[in-house]
Amino acid sequence: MTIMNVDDSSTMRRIVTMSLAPSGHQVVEAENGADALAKLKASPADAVVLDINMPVMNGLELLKAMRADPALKRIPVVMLTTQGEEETRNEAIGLGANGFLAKPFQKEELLAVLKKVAGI
Amino acid sequence: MPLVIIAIAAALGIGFWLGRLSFGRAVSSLTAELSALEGRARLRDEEAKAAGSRAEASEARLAELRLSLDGVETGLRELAALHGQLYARAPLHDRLLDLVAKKSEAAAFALMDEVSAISSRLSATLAEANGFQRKLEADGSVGEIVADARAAAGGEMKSAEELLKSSKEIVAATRRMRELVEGSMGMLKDIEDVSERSRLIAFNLAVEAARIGRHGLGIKVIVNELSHINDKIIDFSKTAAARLAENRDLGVRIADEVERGIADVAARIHEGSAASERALERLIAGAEGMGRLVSSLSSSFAEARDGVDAMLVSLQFQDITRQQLETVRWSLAEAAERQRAALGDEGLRRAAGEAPEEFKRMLYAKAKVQDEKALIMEGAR
Repeated sequence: MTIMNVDDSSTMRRIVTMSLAPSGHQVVEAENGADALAKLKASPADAVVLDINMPVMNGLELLKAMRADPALKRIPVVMLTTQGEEETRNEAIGLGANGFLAKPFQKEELLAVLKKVAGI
Repeated sequence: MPLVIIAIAAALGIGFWLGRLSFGRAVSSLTAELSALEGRARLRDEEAKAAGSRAEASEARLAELRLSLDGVETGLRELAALHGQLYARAPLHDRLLDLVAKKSEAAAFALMDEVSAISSRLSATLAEANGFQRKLEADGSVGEIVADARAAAGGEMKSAEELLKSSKEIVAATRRMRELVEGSMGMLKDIEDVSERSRLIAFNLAVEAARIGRHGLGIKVIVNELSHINDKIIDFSKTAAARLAENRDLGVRIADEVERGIADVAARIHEGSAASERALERLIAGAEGMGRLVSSLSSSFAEARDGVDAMLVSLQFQDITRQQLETVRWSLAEAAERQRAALGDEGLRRAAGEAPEEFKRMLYAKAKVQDEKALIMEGAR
C-alpha cells in the first residue's frame, strides 16, 4: 500500500517512514500541505498520515482541500496530534479526519490506526 | 346639686381616666420612638465601625496592591533585562539548538540504520533457521531421524555381516574345491600311472606277439590299439591335471583375495558404523545447536526491534521538544522585538550588558560536548 507521510519535520517524516516501510508499505513523503496536495493529485495514495502544524499549508487546510476534491475525498486521513490540540482535533473531525494519533506514538499504534481507518 | 356634683365628679373621673389613658399612650409612643432611635443609633455605630474596618481593609489592600505593583514593576524591569540578554544571545541559542538536535538525530538515525540492517540480516537468517526447523519438524523430530538412521545403519550392518558370512562360506567352499581338485589330480596321476603300466604291458605283448610270428598278428593289432588309447589317456590326464592345477591355483588366489577383502570390508563396515554413529551424534548436536541459535536469534531480533521502536519514540520526544523550543524561541524573539521597540537599541544594549555571567555559567555547566562549550564562550564574548 502507498501511504503519504506529510510533516514539516524531516525527523518526524523519517520516523513515520521507518515505522511503515518494514511492514511492506511504500511511503511517499511531503514537507507541507501544498507539497502533499500536488503529489496526491499526481498519484493518489491509499492513506495519508498528516501533521497539523506546518508552514505554507497546514494539515487542516490540506484535509479541507482533499475533502473538496472528488478524486481525493475518500482517501483515509490519520492526523498526528500533540497534547494541547483538542480544539484543533475537533475541527479536524468536522473536516472529515478518519483517525488520530498522539505524538509520541509507538510503531504498532500507527499500524493499528491505519489498519482501522484504511484496512491496510 | 348633688347630681351636678356627681356629674362633675363623674366627668372629672372620666376625664382623669381618659387623660391617663392618653398619657400612657403618649408615653408608650415616645418610649417606642426612643427605642427606635437607640436602635438606629446602634446601627449607625455598627455601620461606622464596619466602615472603619472596611476602610482599614481597603488601606491594607491598597498597601498590598502598592507592594504588588512595586513587585510587578521590579519584575518588568528584570524581564526587560532578561529579554535584552536573550535577544542579544538568540543567535547563540539557535546554533546550540540546531547543533544538539542535529548531532543527536544524526547519531540516532545512523544507529537505527545499522540496527535495521542487522535486523534485516537477522531476520533473513532467522527465516532460514526457521525453514530448517520446519523441515526437520516435517520430516519428524531429530530424535526420530537419528533413530531411523540408526535402524538403517543397523540394517545395513546386518546385510553386510550376512554378506561377509556368505563370502566366508564361498572361501571355505573354494578351499574344499581345492582339496577336491588336488584329489582329482591325484586320481589323474593314478590313471596316468596305470596308463604307463598298460603301455609297458602293451609293449611286452607286442614283443611277445612278434616272437610267436604269424599267430601273434591279431595280438599285435590289439596291442597297437591299446598303446594308442594309453597315449590318449596319458595326454588327457596331463592336460586335465594342468588345467586342474591352474584352476586350483586360481581358486587359491581368489580365496585369498576374498579373505583379505572380507577382512577389509569388515573393518570398513565397523569403521563406517562408528563414523555413522559419530555423524549422528554430530547431527543431534547440530540440531540442538540450531535450536539454541534460532532461539538466540529470535531474542536478538526482538531486542533489536524493541531498541529501534524505543529510539523512534525517543526521537519523537526530541522532535516535539525541539518544536516547543522553537515556539519559545519565536515568542522570545517577538518579546525582544517589542522590548527593543519600547527600550530602543541603547536600552537593549544596556540591559543585555547587565551581568549575563550567571546565565553563561549555567549554559556552560549544562553543555555536553566541547563544541557547545566553545560556542557558549564565543557567544559570551
